[in-house]
This record gives sequence, structure tokens and C-alpha cells, in this order.
Amino acid sequence: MRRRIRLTDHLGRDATVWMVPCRSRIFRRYRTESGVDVRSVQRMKATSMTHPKTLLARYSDPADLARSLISEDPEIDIERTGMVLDFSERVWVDGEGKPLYTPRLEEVRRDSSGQAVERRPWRAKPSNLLSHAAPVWSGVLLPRQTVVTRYELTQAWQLMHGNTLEFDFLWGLAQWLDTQECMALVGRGRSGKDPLIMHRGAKPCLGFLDGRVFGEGMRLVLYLAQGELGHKEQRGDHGED
Amino acid sequence: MSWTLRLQAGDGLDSQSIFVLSRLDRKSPWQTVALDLTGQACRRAMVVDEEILPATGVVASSYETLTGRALGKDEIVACDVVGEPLPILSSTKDSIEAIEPATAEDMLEHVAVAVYEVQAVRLAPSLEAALRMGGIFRTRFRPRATAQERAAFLVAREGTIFLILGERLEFTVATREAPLPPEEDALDDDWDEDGWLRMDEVADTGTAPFDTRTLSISEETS
Repeated sequence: MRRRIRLTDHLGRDATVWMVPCRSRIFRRYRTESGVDVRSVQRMKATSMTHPKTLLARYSDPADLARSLISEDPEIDIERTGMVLDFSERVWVDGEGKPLYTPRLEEVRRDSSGQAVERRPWRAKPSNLLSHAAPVWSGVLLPRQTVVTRYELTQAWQLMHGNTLEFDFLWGLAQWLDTQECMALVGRGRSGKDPLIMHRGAKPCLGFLDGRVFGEGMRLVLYLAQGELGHKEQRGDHGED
Repeated sequence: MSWTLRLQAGDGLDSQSIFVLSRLDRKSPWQTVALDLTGQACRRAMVVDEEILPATGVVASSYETLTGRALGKDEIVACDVVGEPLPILSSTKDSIEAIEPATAEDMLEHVAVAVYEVQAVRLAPSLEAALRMGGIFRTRFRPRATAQERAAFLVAREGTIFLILGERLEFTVATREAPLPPEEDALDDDWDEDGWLRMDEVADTGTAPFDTRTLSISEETS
């Protein structure tokens, strides 16, 4: 799903442009060996009355359950088992199975034995792609080799134009980055170095902008990294107080 | 779980390297839980046909033909964009893979889908020296047989070697006249993407959002 981002360039100009997700080059689909198209389907396997946990609760003696499975088929709802599930909503339910519309979300840190050692309220941070004020150009330029050997780049979004004014803005930035042979840190905050948040509640990530020019065309890609390459002990440290 | 990777950079035993790989993940020690008004932990559930069902154990996934005939995994083959079957590539665990220098630009054609920490059982001196100098190398690594070829990049940082498994991406050269490409998988206007993603993330992975305060770039790089 494409998004919009407000961006400032090296000249201090800002514009709001399109972010288009870069797709995998390998497109795969499945077929039978005879060439018939195949689709993935989700079907209902059990209902609340035929769920294994329900059956285990209903029959205290496993032998009774085994006999019942053979003679009565309580694990099958004739009307609904096998029904195709196109879409289902997800909800939170309390201990009695009643839906909760506004559950309180909390973060818990546990020790190796599974005991909770720390709790804190979960707060969703809003997206900061479209800031009210023009974002600050971070001024941080890193050689491409430094970026790819230091950060784990897990997402790439191509910055695209919706009109020719936006194209001129993006082309100028791509040309400048291509000349510098560097990637620019794209961030938020007073220094322009704070992480980007793609959508509400998303993990903050660092953005690195890479620009190339091909004749009259250009390619400006925003790579996102959720952290640096590091040891097992070092990973997951970001954001843990 | 760990895997072994054998690499050959040239001729001779000196050019052979053997690595043990262990996958790195970003699992946070913080787990997000949902609580009801009394402070009791809640469970996730799904609403199907106006009935609330447990989130696990009620859905079966299968491959079917368009006429509804269910197929086993051994009855289907992965195909490319024109429908030609893709070859099944064997695991690299029993083979010696070639290694070749790569550039940062090569890596930027991919995004990381997995990162492995590499312990060297045997490290060819020439490869060690090149990695210390910031070199990037490309090889093949497949933990299991697959139809999907992914590039594996070997890099070193602060004395540790990493193998980054990358997925190649499709880029477009934007020109002034070219319109914005049509959006794929367009979602309905009433789709609550944020809410859906948030609930999925919390419930499926148990991971907590990062705190922005500690994720910043060092000043030395400016």
C-alpha cells in the first residue's frame, strides 16, 4: 500500500511525495504438475462447540471422549465444518469469552523463569511521515558501503512523483545523492535524525535515501532499517529501557 | 539452530572457509499483553459468521484447484511469472559454494529477509583480510531445498561476520512523463489498517514497539 511522506532536500526545500513499496522480483504462483492453477484456501476446522479444548472440558474421562468421537462425531459441525473463510475480524475476549472493545494494553518484561519483572503501559506512537512542519534535513551522509555493512535494511520504498513539480524535486535530490555517491539519513525531530514511524504503533526505523540518475530518469529509494547488525546479545536493545 | 556453510574462494585448501551460522532475530524481551477491566489477561479470538471462535485451532489452510479439489504439497509446483515450473534448488548444507566479491550497489538491489551470525571454523586468510577491509562477498546459502533463489552476502562489522540473506527487488526508473504506477492490492476505504496491523503484531509476535529514544544515529557519522 503506497503512502505519502514529507521530505526535505539538501537545499532546504520540502515536498510531499509518494512512497511506493518495492516488490520482490521473484513472482511465484502454484500449479499442479499438469498446469492447473492452484489457490490457497482457509476453511473452518472447528467451531467453539467442536474445538478440542471444548471437547476435553466436556469429557473428563479421555476414554469417554474417544468413544464419543467414534460413535457421535462431536468434533464435526455438519453445517459449518469445511466452510470457506474469506474474511474474519479479530477481537480480544476476556476470561468468559466476551469480546472486549477497549482492552488495556501493557508491556511486560519477563525473566528467564517467565516471571514478570517489569510492566509499563503500551503507548502507540503515531505515524510521523506527514509532519505539520517541514522536516529537517539531517545532513548525515554515509557511503553506501557503510550503510549496507552497518544496518539491516529490511524494507525499501521507491519515492515517486505525482506531478512534474514533485519530479523536479526528486530528480534534483537523486542527482545530488548520485554525485555524492552517498546515502542520506532521513529522519524526524529537531536534528532530522530521529526515527521514522511508518504507521500508528509501528516500530521506529532509520531511513536511508539512495539516489541514482539514468539519463532523464531517476531512482530514489528510501531504505528502512530497524537496527544495526550486531551480536545476539546486542540485538533487540533498541527501545528497551 | 545452526547451519554449516562451506565456501571456496579459489583453488587450494587455503582458499576454503567453513562457517557455522546461527540466525539472529529481533525478538524483544518486552511482551505486549491485553488486560480486561479487572486486570486479567485477555485472549485473542476471531469472529466468523457472528460467532466468536478461538484464534488457534479453528482454521485449516489448504491448496485447492479452482474447482475445489484439495491438493497435497507434493501435488503442487512453484511456477514463475509465465507459469513455467521453477527448479527445486537443493540445500547448500552438503555442498561447497563459490564466493565472489560484491558491491554495496549489489546489496542495495535486495532487502534483508534474514541475518545470520557467522562463526568461522576455518577462515581463508585472503577472505579474512578482505572482510576486515570492509569487503562484501556474495555466495549462496539455502538452509533447505527451495524453489526461490536468494542472494547471500557476507559482511564483517566490528570483528563479527554476518551473512545477510537478501530478496531481490523490482525498481522502476521514474521519468517526468511516466505516471504513478497503478496500486496493487488496493484496500477498501474502510479498512482499518493501523488497528489490524497493531493487533496482529501484538498477538502474533508478542513484540513491543520500539522506543524511539534509543534508536538514533551517532554523531560521528555526520
